[in-house]
Amino acid sequence: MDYKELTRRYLNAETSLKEEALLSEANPSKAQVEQRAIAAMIYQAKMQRQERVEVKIHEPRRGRQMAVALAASVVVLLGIFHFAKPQTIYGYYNGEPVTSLAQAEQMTEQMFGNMLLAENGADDILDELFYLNH
Amino acid sequence: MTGEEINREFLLHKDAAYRYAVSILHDPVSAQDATQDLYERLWRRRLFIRAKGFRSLMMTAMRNICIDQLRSSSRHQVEPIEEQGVDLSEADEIQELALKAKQIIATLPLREREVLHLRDCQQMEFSEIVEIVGISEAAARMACSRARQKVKDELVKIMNYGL
Repeated sequence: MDYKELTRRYLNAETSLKEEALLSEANPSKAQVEQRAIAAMIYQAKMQRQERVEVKIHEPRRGRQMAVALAASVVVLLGIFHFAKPQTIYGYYNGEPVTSLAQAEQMTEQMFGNMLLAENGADDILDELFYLNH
Repeated sequence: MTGEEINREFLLHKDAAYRYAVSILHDPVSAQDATQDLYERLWRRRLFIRAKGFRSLMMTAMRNICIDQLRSSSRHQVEPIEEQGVDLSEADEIQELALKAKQIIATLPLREREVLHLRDCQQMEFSEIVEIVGISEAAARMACSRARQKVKDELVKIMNYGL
């Protein structure tokens, strides 16, 4: 390594970072005044690289992410509950379950109507029997 | 970038940004405040920041913060840097000279000082320095060369004449 040439190029800002690293390893003698000056400059830069600072860092908002995840879970659960809810059986018609309220009401009305008819029919028969007895 | 990404990248480069601020402001306390300010700004804009070229972005932002501080401050004049905790009687000559070099660098014009810092302390390529400082590569090399030459000349004077 031509140290003198390297220092000349260093002063002209023509050296690469690798060459500057080589310069930092050199140990010039007391007679090499210019080289010692450059060694001091490089040493100063090296010392400066060791300076550190403390900075207060924000915590990423995990709570917000959790809240979003929780809200999404609730929506999904509500959906599952709504669609997978067991259907109410209001009664059975010919052995088949009746799950529609409107159908159940209609059938109930029909059933009571039939009962009324049957009851009226029985009265008629009794009346007839009574009449015959008289 | 997410909050976690910006924290990770910032912690990687915060010391470099701080040292850059010290080289511009000459005041470790102001530089520390500037570094915290830089972080807050980056944090607020994190959703718009990409990981690519983050170091350059950080250094450019730090430069802007420091320049703003220099402009707004009434104390534009460079204060001499104190020699911190070094026992000169026991120190090696190179260490003594390094402290002198630090003082000489503090008296350089801002452009020369920051280019010298980015090259010698941060060990950046000139292509990266020009992005941060906003000058051509030739101008950056020229500023670096002038700065090195001036510091070397002053140190030689000290060694030869004890000035």
